[in-house]
Amino acid sequence: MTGITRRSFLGRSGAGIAATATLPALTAGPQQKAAAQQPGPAPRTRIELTVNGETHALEVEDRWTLVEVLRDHLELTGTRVGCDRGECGACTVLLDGKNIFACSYLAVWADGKAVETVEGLATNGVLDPLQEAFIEYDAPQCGFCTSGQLMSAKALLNESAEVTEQSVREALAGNICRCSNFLNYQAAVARLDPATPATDDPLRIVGHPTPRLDALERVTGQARYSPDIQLPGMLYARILRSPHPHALIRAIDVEPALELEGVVAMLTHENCDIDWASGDLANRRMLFNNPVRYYGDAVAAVAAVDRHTAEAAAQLIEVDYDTLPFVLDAEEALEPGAVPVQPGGNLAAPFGALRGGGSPVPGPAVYERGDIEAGLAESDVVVEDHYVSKHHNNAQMEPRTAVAQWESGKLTVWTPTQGITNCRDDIAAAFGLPNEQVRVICEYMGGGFGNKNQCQDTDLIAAELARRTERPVKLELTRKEDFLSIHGRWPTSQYYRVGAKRDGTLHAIELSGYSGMGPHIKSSGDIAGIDFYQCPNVSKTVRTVHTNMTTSANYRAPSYPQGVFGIASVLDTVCHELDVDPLDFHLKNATRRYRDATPYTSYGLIDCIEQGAEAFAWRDRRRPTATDTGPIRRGTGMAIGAFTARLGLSNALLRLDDAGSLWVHAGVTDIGTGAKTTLAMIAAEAMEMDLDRVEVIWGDTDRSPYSVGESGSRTTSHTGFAIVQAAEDLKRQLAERGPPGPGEVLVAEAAPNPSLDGEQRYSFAAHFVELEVDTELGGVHLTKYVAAHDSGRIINPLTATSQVKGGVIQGIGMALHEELLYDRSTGIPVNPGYYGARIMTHLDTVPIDVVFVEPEDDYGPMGAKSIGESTIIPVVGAIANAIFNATGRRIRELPISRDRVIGAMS
Amino acid sequence: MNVFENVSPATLEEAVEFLGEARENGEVAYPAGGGSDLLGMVKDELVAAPDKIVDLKRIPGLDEIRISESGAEIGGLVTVDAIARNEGIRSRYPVLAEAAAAVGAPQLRNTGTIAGNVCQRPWCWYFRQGFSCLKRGGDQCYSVIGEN
Repeated sequence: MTGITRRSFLGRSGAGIAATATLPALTAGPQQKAAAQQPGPAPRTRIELTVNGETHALEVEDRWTLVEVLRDHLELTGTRVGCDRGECGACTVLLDGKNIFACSYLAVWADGKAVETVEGLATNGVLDPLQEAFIEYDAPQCGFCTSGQLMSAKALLNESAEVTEQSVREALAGNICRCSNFLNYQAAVARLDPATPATDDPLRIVGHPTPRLDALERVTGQARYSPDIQLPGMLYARILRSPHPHALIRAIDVEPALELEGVVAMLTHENCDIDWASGDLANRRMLFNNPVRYYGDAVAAVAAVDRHTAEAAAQLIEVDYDTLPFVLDAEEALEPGAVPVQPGGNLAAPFGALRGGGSPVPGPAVYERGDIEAGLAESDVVVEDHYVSKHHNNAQMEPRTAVAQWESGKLTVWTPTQGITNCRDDIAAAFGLPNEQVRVICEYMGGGFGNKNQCQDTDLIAAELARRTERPVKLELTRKEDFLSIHGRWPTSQYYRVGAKRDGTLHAIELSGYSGMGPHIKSSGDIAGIDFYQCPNVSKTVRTVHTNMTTSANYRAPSYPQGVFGIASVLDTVCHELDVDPLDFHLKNATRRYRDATPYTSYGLIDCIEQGAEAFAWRDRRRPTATDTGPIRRGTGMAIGAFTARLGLSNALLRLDDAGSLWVHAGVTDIGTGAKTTLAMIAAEAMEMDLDRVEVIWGDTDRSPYSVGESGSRTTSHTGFAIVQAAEDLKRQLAERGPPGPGEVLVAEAAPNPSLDGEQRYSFAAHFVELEVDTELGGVHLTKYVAAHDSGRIINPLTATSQVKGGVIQGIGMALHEELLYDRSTGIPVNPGYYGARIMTHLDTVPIDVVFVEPEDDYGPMGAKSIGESTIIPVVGAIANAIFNATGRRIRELPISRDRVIGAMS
Repeated sequence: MNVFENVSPATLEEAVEFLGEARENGEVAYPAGGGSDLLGMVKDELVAAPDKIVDLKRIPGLDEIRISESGAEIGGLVTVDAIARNEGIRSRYPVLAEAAAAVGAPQLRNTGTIAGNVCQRPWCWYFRQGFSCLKRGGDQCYSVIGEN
């Protein structure tokens, strides 16, 4: 038996300690509070700035940063703002030939200097070779970081045409790509051989590597993201946020802020009662809540004539708080006497029950089959263990920004959303409008990985401020606000008892788990992973719990990587105790039928395990536990994964015009996955046309039909299938009527809603990793990674491969160093931001070999299943197991950081 | 950021004068080398809101490295990147060159100066999150019992 208690950390918890007045405020530090006065006029300076060869004479405020001048005043919006703190690199430009962070450099300092931006790379309409390479290697996914990556690469190549992989990694080290397409950026700059798997797909277009249709816009800076929208007369908004994890607002004095010249409107809980629906029927979430329930909860929003005035105004708001005790930990929140985060108590109802409507009854989500106690008693070995995962932020490159405008009673919102239809419907419901009076536009979107699903409070706040002021309003969140007030992956505590027979047959799994969801229940809170295995006796109990941490919700395969960390680690311990090779264990115990009962529509898990193991050379590389004895110890690990490949309602509209162009109207946004390209390929294949005859109309609720939204890895299965169906209709019309004559258009629409009868549809994965553990300094260095995936037919191997690599690299970050860390005595997160939360960079990457097995599947477009989310599922478990294989020490709390490795070794 | 004035002295004497004047007038003034860290702290309100930023980048002669028998003299405005690349430093003081090459990101090394680097405020989480800690005039160090 393995020891169960890892609860010593609870002893440090600070539940019940009231916050004091010395805590840091989000928008007004204590030192400024006293000095906060009506600011005088901003000093201005005349400067001369040469940008991309053109000299501009400008009068700038001394406090304006270079990126502000480029974006807001010279309308060069290809340079992005991701963090505004010199941490992410999205704003990288060249200053006199050297790459710098334009967010951390005053425009006045650049007087007389030459600035180069992404807009200057192409000359006379001819792309820079770097831009061409970025397209060829599928370097940009969401594209938000691309301009910065290009400029850093340009700086490197300006210096020397001779580059190595290492020199490229170092040169790009200041440019984060949260889609984590680092390897493709590196390969594009170093001109490495493309690592796209070979394809022998008999289809004409589908199955063949195809560069993104909108790659050009992404590598030239032309792609227009929500922060790039500028409208005449537009106001800027800022939010004041709670400096306490839990407090009652006694009074808010907004008068000093309203007196500031240029301030136009103010929202607080006293004058705005708009719901921001959370999916939680038991407790309402408003845009502004009283009490505030987490550090960063929105308290007020102010609209002013410019960004700086709005910022200054937010500082002038006086809030009188009555601080309340708080609780951060889900298990503590369920203890008797714990502070109630919500009036109904801290245990929430199972999420499914809430979504289904009716009166929500608090209680755990329970699943059982067989007889768990008998199963454990019958087992030859029983492992009892406890695993802890942490809040892990999506950290997408584009901070939430919404621009709202009312015209003749119709509301238009430009916002980064993963679902324009849902977003529009939510906004319409909040304002009591019919759907057609709201238009949501999201042309390009800088990543989300789940945290931009549906509508955000930013959309509603901007819209309400715009309604009251009768002017367009832009609300931009800072990076810190984005970390604090938008969902990351929920932290969990997982208690397992797992039993197996001596021959390595899995016989019983019990999981009792807790998920800390923050004040509002926005997602399932599930802890998933045990369904990947055949097992006759299963018992799972998961409690979703309200806490005073920030709200947790969806991040790529929301309930999986943390659950797989637990179950894969426990099963690895079973293998170790039985002296069974994990590869054999997985071949024997991997799921064959969903929950041992329901057949899968197609099944490639064993192929993933076998082909992945072969590509990895598992039998050669695998060595006994803790073989090495020196300071650097090598180990291997594996884990498996499965993710639903859902079917359901979607819609596509096809128009074939007299010029032979096919217009595909699909209500999707391309969040970086390449959906637009994938859908165009499906349309071209289905219509037997060339890809260059296909135009996709997307990302605008007024121009494209219903789509379920780009979440749940379902865009290809849902919308792709609708396109296939519409194409069937269009082909039938063509056969009957012939091609459209002059001025004619053929139109076909399909809204299929396929479902499964007695089957389950899943994608599968098996991952293998080799790494080295530095037992003295605690570092973990990955040396080889193989990711084998069954996602059905791969529509576009180029972008699918990028998805796999990105998911793996995000998983590496989650495994080894990323975490939103809370100070337990104050309830305040101490590291919200790229630097603090230790988000992955170019220097943290490892080569990743991608293997696709492609079993035939009768559903979805041409047999495609799902891919985006399955890619991150096995990563943390595989790495944790490899660390055990290397060291013989089991680390039970994420992230497996240097201090934890050193602690485990001592 | 709050309202402030940027001044760009042409000489060291002028810079000192600006800073001294500001102090006499009860104003808050900060010298800026590369300025990246300073701007971040001003944005996050980790330091008192400046009335004046004294940009040192226009002062000639402070960005030179002189290597002699007795040692190396590195001007305060020499960038971290320049130190990492300097042949004399690389051959005589390779550890310094390696350390400089490992600082931050290329974009920071290109603007960040040796003087600014040495004068950085703590990168402790609590300090950077604006806790009223010992280093910011408070009466306790949160990292002693907190996350460190």
